[in-house]
Amino acid sequence: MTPIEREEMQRRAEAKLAAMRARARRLRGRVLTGAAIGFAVIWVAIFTQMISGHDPVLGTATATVRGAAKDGATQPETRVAAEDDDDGHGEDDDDQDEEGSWMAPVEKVVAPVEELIEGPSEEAEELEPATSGQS
Amino acid sequence: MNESRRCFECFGGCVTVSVLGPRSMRPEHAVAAAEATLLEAHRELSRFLPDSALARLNRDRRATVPAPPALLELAAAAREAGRLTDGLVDATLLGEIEAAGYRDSLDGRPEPATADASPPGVALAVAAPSPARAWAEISVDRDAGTVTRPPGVAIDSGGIAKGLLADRVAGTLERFPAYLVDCCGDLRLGGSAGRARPVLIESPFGGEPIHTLRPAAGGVATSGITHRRWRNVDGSAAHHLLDPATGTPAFTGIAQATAFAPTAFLADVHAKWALLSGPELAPARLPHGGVLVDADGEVEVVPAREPLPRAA
Repeated sequence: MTPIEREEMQRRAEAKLAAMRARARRLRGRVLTGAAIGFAVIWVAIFTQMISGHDPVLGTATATVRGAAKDGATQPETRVAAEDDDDGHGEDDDDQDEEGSWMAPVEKVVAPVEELIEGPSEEAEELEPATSGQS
Repeated sequence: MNESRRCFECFGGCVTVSVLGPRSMRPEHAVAAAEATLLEAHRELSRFLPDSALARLNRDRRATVPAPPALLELAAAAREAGRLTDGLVDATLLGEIEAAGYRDSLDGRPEPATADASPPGVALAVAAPSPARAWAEISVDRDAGTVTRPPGVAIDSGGIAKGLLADRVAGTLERFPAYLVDCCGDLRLGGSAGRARPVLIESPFGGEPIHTLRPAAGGVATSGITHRRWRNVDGSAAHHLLDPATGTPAFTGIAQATAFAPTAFLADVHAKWALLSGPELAPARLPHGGVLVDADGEVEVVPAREPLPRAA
């Protein structure tokens, strides 16, 4: 093999390698772009659903807790009520709430979707008066 | 909750649309759409605009004339108003109104010197229906989009259009917690929250409001003879509410009547019906309640005898 032929072969190999690397870059770019677009689409869809008040997690429950619920209970929180475990299996006394029995049920609190988005609603104020005169 | 409100010139006065609702419901879009609907309806139904659909209908010598949806509704409402009141509320007196002096909009016209609901030398008399009963000859074919009436019978939008259009817009706002459509004093209000709204009733003689209603839903309309009025060339007092039997301004002893009803259109009709019926019969014309003011300024609050029908 002459030096010229060797150089030619080397040049072709480098070109092939460069093409392979460029292709890998293109594929990587497409994958990243597709993932970003997919994430954005899903995010917008979920955001739109939530902002329109159709949160499937909340379902139709709209009860709110007014005032303190139980003796020794902490302030009402948005969490599911704890279930009683009468047989005592698996309990650990070290986990007891220092303010009272951790067995005391906590009321399930679900605020209306609109309050979660826009803040608690105020007491209903009187609507602005209208005037009826000769038309 | 956000309130979106717009006031704009329409129907020769000030129209207000107010919608209360959460941001997610876009109350501002609903208000903008309501404004566009009312302005379009004004362009179609004003008798003071020569190119309006109503003006073209009234000039048309054919018995059956094609009409846009808003005009079909107005024509049907004119017939219905006559039917409900046995012809006392007659929307076919356009010729008589213009002959009485109400040819142009009254905006900016100088007021008479005194607000007198009982001009000296004018005998008070209860109004009566026109023997011609032209309103009964109006028919509407919604499928064909046509209005049929005897040629020469002209429909006047002044007495019933505002309430009718307030109801039309209200239909698009019922899903909001609260709304108000105020077409120059003819009101339609309501909303899904069922909250009451104070409605102040203006005095026909100026000054403080004479009464406050607090409906949660329905229509409120006030008719009177002390605002839209003028003096004729001969100096006689005139106003826009005519006695159908004579074609001249009616002086019945009532200066103003306010009616509450399930819709603004019905409130409009009942208010005019009460005023034209005179003091003896006026309370009977207000089945859902209202307020009467006689020519001497005495105020009578009429309680409701019939509950409002529940929404379907």
